[in-house]
Amino acid sequence: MKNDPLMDVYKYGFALIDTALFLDTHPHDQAALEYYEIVRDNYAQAVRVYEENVGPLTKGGVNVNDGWTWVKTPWPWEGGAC
Amino acid sequence: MDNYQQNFQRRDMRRRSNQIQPVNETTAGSDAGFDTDAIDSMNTRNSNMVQNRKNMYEVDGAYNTMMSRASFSRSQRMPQTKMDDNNFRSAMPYNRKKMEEMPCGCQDKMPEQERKIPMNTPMNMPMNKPMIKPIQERTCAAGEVCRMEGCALAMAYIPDQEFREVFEDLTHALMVGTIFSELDKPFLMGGCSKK
Repeated sequence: MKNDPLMDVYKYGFALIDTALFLDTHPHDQAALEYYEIVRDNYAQAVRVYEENVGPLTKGGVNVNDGWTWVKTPWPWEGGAC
Repeated sequence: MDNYQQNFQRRDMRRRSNQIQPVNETTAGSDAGFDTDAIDSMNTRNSNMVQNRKNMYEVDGAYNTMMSRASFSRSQRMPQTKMDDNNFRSAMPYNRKKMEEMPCGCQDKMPEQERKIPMNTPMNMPMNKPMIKPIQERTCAAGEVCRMEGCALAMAYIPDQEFREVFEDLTHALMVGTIFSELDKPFLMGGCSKK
């Protein structure tokens, strides 16, 4: 589970949201701002790794060099993204 | 005159009529109708009666409570009553300035004589006198530091969060629903879920 690329997307995405919620009420907290930068970079990297190895996560992540991969990978009800 | 002004005048007349009827016990109050001048003159004639009724109650708070229940809410027509520390708790539910001036009791121990509750027992208390406990008796336990001194009653207070103690394992953070270990409150681990 630790090497699951989708789990990396989930956990860094969640940390990104939770940090953003904190920054909404503490916009000048320097420690939170630095942590946000770290989590944001990790999230972007996790998304990139997943989309390069598995497939697009959003409509904006399709690599057209391989064709329209949005419909090539299995849908969630077909066992995809699990 | 537009609709808003008409409605406003109609409502004002209704309030005046509600005001005069309970006072006018000795005269024919129903004959007063909605005539503003008649209401004013009757209020003047009844001012002595109102003052006498107020004197029946030694505590102004009781007088205010009674008058508000009888729909005597127009302050410009009723005599203003002065609030003091003894009646403010019953007559006025919230007064921040007064609250801040009130001693909490946990810091300075008051003399024993002032701590006595001047309260009538049910045996000797007249029927028209309410039991009022002075606010000075709202004290903390002996020796306990009162951290909420100066805070108003019936208000909830939430401490400001600081950015600290973030989970190193973000997979665990995802499972418990927060990246802050301080906010990880496993309330559901007790009770039935522990079986």
